[in-house]
Amino acid sequence: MNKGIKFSLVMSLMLILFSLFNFSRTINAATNHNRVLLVYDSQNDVKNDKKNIDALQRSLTSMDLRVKTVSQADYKKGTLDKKYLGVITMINWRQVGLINREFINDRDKFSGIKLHIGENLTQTEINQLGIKVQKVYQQQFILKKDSNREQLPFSQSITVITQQANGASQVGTLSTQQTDQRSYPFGYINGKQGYLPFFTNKGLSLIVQTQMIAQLFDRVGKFQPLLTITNVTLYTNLRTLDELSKFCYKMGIPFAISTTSVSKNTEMKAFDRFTAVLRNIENRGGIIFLQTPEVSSGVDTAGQLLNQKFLTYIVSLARQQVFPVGISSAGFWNQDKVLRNNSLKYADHWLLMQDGTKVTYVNQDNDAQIAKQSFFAMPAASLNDVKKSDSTTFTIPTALTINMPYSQKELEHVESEIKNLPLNWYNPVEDGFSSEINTETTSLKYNHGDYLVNGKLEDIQNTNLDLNKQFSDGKPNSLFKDYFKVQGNILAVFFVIIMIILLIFIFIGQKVYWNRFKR
Amino acid sequence: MKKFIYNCLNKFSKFVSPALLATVLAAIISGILLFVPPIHGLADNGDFYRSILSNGIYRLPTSYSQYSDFVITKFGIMQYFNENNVSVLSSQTIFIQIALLLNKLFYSRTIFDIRFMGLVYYLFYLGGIYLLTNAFVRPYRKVKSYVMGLLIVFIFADSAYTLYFNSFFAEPGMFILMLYLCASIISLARNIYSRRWPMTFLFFISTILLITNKQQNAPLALSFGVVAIGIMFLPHFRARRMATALGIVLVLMSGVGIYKSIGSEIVGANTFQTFSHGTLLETSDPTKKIERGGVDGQFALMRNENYYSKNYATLDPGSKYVKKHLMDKTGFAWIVRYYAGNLKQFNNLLDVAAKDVTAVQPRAVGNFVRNSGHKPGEQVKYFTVYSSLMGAFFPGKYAFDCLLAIGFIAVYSVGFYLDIKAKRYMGILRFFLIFGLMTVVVFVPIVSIVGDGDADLAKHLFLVPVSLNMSLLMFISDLINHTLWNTEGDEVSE
Repeated sequence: MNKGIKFSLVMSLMLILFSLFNFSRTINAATNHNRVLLVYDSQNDVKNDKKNIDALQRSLTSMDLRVKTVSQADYKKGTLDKKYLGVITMINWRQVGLINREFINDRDKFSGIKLHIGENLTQTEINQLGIKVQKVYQQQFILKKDSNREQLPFSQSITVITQQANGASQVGTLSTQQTDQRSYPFGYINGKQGYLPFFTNKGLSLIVQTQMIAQLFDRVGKFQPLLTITNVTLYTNLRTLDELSKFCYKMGIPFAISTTSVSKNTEMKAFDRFTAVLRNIENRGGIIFLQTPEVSSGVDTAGQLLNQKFLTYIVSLARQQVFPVGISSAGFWNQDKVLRNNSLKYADHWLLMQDGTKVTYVNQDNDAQIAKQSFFAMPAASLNDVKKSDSTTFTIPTALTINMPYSQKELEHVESEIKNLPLNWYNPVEDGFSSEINTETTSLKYNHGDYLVNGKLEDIQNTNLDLNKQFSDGKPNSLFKDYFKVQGNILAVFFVIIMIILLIFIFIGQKVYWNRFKR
Repeated sequence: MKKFIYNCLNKFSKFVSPALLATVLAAIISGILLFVPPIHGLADNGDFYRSILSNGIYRLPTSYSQYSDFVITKFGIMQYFNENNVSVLSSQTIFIQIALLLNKLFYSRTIFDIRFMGLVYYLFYLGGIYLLTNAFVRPYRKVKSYVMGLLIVFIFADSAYTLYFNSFFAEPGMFILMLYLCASIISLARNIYSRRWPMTFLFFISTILLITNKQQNAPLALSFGVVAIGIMFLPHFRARRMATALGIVLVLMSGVGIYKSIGSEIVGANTFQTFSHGTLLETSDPTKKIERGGVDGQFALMRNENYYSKNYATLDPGSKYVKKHLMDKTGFAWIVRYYAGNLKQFNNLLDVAAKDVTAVQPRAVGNFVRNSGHKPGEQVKYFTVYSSLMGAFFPGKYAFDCLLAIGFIAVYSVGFYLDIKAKRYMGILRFFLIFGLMTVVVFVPIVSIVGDGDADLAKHLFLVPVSLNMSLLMFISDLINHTLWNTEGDEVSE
């Protein structure tokens, strides 16, 4: 008895201690373990550096880092404090550079992780990085990483590291094309300090940059890429889409699609067809990301319209046994309070794509949130010059995207493109993909290839694979249709006869009338 | 007692002509509506920018939405170079510029008050009412003439029309110019004024301004060209017949000109909305139907989508994809072929249009100003008896409109025939006016449906009710004056 009491006491004490420890850890995680402040000098619209900011934000989100983005002009003294795990300075326009003294002071005092991207390193930064730098003008560099090489575009000026600190590490190498072939480190990490001479949104550079940032923030993972067909809409050539999914299925390539939906007209045959093709995709091992619509105007300031739309999307698709596993959108949706809260927030898996030409905010807050997992989308074609093999992995969850083809010719092109990618693709069924979408009315779960709707396992109906039959008219033949048709004809004949008789009577009557006067 | 009343009336008629009575009444009724605070008007449905930006007027920033719910009274006047080139060519600019000038003279150089817009239209409108009543009743001052004047007020001072004055829509200009146009023809027909050239001139000016008022009016050049043919029949006019012919050519050219000025952006919007707001409507499931026409059936899901989406769009209708796979296929010829193959659907659409003919007062926008104690989007009920009656009792069937048109034309063709034989001109002028107005009634719904579907339908049909009401007034006045088929009576007054 005594022993039992002792044991339970010890156990409960241990439990309390454990929970306390756990609790403090979660609080820590919420406060500074994943928050990053990104401060940029200018968006430099001439060079369209907005795209670079977007790519950086998305890659941080994929690393499960919550990034708050501030233009230096909007930076307020004291913003950068202990609640941040790190700070990233991004210089897009060296002629402007950093002029906000308060930020520079706060950053110098800050003891967390610091990353500087671009030129205009201050002396303090150089000292903290422990390097010597040199400005190089009018050069075209080659970026080397492992056995990969990428020729970079011609650069006006670039700050390179000529001398590294002891114990520092480098990610990638920049080398000149001249005969003497000088080379400098590309990504540079010295403890909590990091430096990247520039940031671009494509190709090998992007991969090396994300690798370097992940390393600096200690977020390096090993992810196989997810093959994703993007720009699928209800207006896509459905035959082509069906063919493409069949092709992937036959080749044993797991894949995902990112598709939009509609909230109206879901009773139409066109919608049935669309969902039939999506069901085929589900049955062929494909997963579906529901893509956000295009923002035409910022009038929906309360987000009600968007909220309503999403609920309708999910319900109308689920009714047809189409179950999205996550939500895909352009990167800026995660930088907008209204857009994010009424779409992305429903899902725990996101697929964030590059911003298009049209970016319309409803309530921009630049306070990106994170999901259980966010795929960083980049066009598969942007890796054309990068060596790939079946052992290639990415440091962050990555989706390699291919645009939805339209014609048969385009389809063949895409098929050969997929064939020629020797990658080991991410397989949602075998690799244990598990996701949830929860709205006020519906809960969709995906787990190892199983779909659960409101907790109930769904068996997706195998739709008729013969699309020709599916596309047939299928008019319901009502019992009385022929009857009414015959009746209509009889009536028409009847009236024609009466008309003729009437005309004859009128003719006769007229004659009789005239004859009276004729005499 | 009887004699006293008779004397009174006699004196009244000596000082107040029917036209003056009608004008004063219209002035009081619409003046209260437009200018006595809290004022009334029409809220912006999102179209105002087209007319205001090119005229150097902009929306003042507010914390609330300026669309649909309430009438906005204050706008800003641009102080510096206006980089918005004239986005839409329109004679509406003339009215707005006069309003701007008055505003700058009497109110402010930086803030524009919508009441100045209302005032400009109001003044032109009263002139129109005076001329129209005069055209119908002069030279008589009998009781029936006053009844006619009251009827004109009852119909054309209806708030459904006058509310438009306090807005930046193009419709008030169309309404007022229509008054002048008809007044001038009727004046010529009834020989109201000793000289003919001022009225002929007025006719051509108002016609050209009317056609160039809005791009959708381009096809009306044909209708009013027909009306102008009547002028050719005026006697002792040989020297000026050439001038009239020139006028007709000008009218037709203004139609072509305004048609040519339609930008590619608007053509794209119209092509799309003809499809999404026309061919996809009034049918159970259009998927197969459009497929038979060679368009991907999936585009049926675009039903009721706007080209300029108001909030979110599944696929931007302005995108290259939609242009390539939809709009490049559904040109004018495709639409005509489609409707030819789906006549029943087309007929249903025309019936929708016929129902909208009586919807003069736009239901989508509010008529009150903010903080006037009215709900957002609330509608004025003051002096809308006539438009309400029409809305309630006028049959919403296109076939009825056509029958009505045939009826009017048939009735007036008798006068036309008699006058051709007797070498008079009153019946001829009247006939061509009625004929022109009836082509508006019959063809504008078709042009609207084929051109833009049911998008903004009621506003596209604005001239149809005006034409119908004008014909009705003419018919009643001819009944009262006993001049429907007997056109001799009027020549006496010459």
